[in-house]
Amino acid sequence: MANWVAHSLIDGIRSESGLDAEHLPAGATPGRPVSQPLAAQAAARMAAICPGGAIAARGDAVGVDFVHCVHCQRCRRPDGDLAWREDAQWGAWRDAASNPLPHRFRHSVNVRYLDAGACGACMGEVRLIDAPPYNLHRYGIFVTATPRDADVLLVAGPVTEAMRLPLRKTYEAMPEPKRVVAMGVCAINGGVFGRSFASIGGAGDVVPVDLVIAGCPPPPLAIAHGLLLAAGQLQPGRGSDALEP
Amino acid sequence: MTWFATAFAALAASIVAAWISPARARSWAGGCAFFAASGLVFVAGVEAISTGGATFSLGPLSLLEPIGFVLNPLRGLFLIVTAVVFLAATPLLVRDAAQYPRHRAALFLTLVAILYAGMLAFFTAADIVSFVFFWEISALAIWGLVTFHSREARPVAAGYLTLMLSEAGTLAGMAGLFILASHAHSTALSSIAAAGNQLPAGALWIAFLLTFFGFGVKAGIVPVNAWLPEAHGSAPRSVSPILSGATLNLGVFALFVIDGPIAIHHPQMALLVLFVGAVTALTGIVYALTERDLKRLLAQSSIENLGIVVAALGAGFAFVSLGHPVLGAMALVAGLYHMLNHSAYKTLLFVGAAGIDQATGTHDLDRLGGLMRRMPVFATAFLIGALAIAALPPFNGFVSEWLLFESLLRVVEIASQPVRAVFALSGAMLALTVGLAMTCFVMLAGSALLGRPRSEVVAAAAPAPVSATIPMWGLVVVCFGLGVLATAVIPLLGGLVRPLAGANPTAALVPAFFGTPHGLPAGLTTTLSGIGAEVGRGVLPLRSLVVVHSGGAATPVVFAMSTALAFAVIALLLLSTWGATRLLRRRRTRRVGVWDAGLPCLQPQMGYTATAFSAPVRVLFESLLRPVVQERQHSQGGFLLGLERETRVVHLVDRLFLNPVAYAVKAIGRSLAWLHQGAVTLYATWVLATLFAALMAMKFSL
Ligand code: SF4
Ligand code: SF4
Repeated sequence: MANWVAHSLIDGIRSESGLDAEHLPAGATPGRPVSQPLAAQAAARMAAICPGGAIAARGDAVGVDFVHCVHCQRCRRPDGDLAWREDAQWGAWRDAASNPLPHRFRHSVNVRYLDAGACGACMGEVRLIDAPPYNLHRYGIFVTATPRDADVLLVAGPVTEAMRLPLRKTYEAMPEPKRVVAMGVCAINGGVFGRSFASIGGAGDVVPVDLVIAGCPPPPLAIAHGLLLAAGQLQPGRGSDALEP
Repeated sequence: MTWFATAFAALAASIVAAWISPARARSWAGGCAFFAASGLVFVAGVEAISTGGATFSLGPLSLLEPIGFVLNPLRGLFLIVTAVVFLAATPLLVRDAAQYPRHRAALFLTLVAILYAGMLAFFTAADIVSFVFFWEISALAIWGLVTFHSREARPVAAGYLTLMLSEAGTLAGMAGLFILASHAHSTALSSIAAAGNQLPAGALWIAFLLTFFGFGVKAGIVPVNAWLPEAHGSAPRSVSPILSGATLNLGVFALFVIDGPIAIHHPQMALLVLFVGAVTALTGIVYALTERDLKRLLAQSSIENLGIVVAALGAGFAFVSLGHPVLGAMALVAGLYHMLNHSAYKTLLFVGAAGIDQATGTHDLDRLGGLMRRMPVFATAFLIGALAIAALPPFNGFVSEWLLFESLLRVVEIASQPVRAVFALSGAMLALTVGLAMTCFVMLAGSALLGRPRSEVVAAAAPAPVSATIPMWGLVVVCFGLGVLATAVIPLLGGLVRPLAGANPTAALVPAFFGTPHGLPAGLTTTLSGIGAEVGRGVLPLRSLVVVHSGGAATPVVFAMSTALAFAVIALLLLSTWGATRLLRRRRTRRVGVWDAGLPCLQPQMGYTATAFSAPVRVLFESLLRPVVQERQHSQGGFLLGLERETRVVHLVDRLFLNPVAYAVKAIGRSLAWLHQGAVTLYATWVLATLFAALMAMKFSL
């Protein structure tokens, strides 16, 4: 039962080889809506049914602001009218000034995950990044329990009032240089929770966010993409061109 | 001699001053007199060591036989230790006395003065009369001081326990002394010691056991040490340093002058002393680790240290009795050295405990914490005391324990297997003791000084009292000096043990590397000068800086140790590391708060407590400690309101020795109760019957 050597020899390598769209197995990513040409009438209909306000009708096209998409799937064909792109390159820099960790961190990044009031689905996806299919260790990305060791703070959830102080303290406890990755639309702008007396509506209001991984939740490969960007192993901009500002 | 006599005058003056001087000046007058007395005793001790001492007697003053006194170098050493301990405790005594109302303050100072005078006289006693008389004076003064602070049940019970054990010990010891004296036909201690050999074996054994365990009460040996933690736990805080640093030496002195001369001719007795010492040391430190109360912990650790002293003396007697006077003298030097060290660092720690008590109002380790930040000067001294007692170089505890272990290892030169077995067993127990002592004092320093305050009283602590900080730093200097200048202390002690052991170990322990000509074996010089044994030659007025234990024919190895050079190396390393980091550091250091898992603030309960730290040791020794756990549930209806869990540890000695004795006495009492009917005529009959029986017995036996 615990014969690891035999198991690994029999099973062979299970990890996904890369993040490219061509190599993804079926179901590795839910896909996402992207900006595309669309008849004006259909475009207006899509904009009206989108609960996150991610779709904007622009004449004969729709513009999708992915950071507002809550993945309700209403706009997806065949129910909706939009064609979705099956990729996992969802990580994107917050703004032009953001940059990856310095070069010497390229193959050694410690990530501290902070659940700032997430619904649980984001947590479920983060747990998978160390699992054999994704196996982020091979890129030198490790999950750590203490912010003292961490280079990247991975925040999920809309930041509830109770988690404001822990988030702040965790960020302050991390040594320089450090980057903050907001994963899931909740951590970017509040998502389905929005802003309220109990929800701050995004990690950016408490700590400076460098990188966002939209999606609700983002799949493990998308999280991996974001972390690889933060580590400087992927070129900035690549794969994130579909995101509109 | 005049110095010594003047010291008594100073003590008498302190008593007078305490009673007649006006309220505000009372404690200060007493304090000044104590200072003067300590200074005089110190000078007298130094004089005795340097000139060889003198004999004097109180013949004309006494109604009975002339009471003899003698002041020789060994006694001088005990006087110096006593003087230094009192000197260190005096500022606290003055401070404490000022807190009592008028007459109690005077009474307090009087009791301390009587204890001081009693001890001084005891250490110079030359015959049985003065020996027992001043032993008793000291014992009664100790009892008075233990119960002085409060009339609550616990201190009073502790006082009675102290008094009971001490009186029982005195009676036993006195009986032993009488057996010896009746065979010596003299009351002088020196002739008693010499007469030991003429006694029949049975009587000698009885006398030895009676004096060893009887006078051992004051040295806290197993199984007569139950009083020690109780007494220290309830004594006034300023008295604890004296009780631990000075009065425990009474027992060591008795062992040295009464049992020593007997045991150096009887290996079994010497081995018994060694074994009892080792058991005492081990039980002391195991129980120290279960304590949460700072003062009781220190008291248990005193038992441990005195156990080490007794074991070292036992090893010394054993070596001498087996025909190895030099080895024996080495072990005796280790024992006396450890006694000096114990007096220095235990006084330091007890003064520190008093200071902590003064500043925070508590000595519960689980409620202390964070004192290093609040009172750094005070806490650094306390930390050094803990380092010294944990036997870390370059402080003094290391030197004596090194000497002791090297001496114990030399048992390979004795062929007898049983002797080797006892040495090996005792050595193993002592080694375990020393390791546990390290754990214990890491725990002590960690939970009292580091971390966060675990209670509000400690968080709001007053600054450390100067009356504690200054004596503590003085004792830090003593601890450091006794550690680094080991090669200056050993020749001194070597001279003191020579009359008993018959050999002076100085030449063997501290080879004259600095002397010209060396007069040393060529092998030794070439081996050790290569690693710096001659560093400082011609500069320092010492024999050398290196202490050496060269094995004999059986073990051709040389063990060398030098706290002075170790200190130099440590200091150099630290300084150069510090300097290098200063030079090479380019980035700014960022200081942030303690990582508290994002909580609003760390709660005191979250810290690591002494109880938690010592838990592994308590689990390890569970079969020895046998803790009794009591659990109580508080519930209302179906709701559980609270859970109370109390762990009580009944001391091994109580369990195996005192309680059975108490039960036996009670049972005898019950079985004799039928004699007590309450009728006067019946009692008169008993008296008559007893008288008749006694008369008949005398008639027929004579
Ligand atoms: S899937 Fe996203 S973009 Fe499409 S309707 Fe739902 S929220 Fe809007
Ligand atoms: S982004 Fe979506 S999946 Fe993640 S916490 Fe918010 S609601 Fe849940």
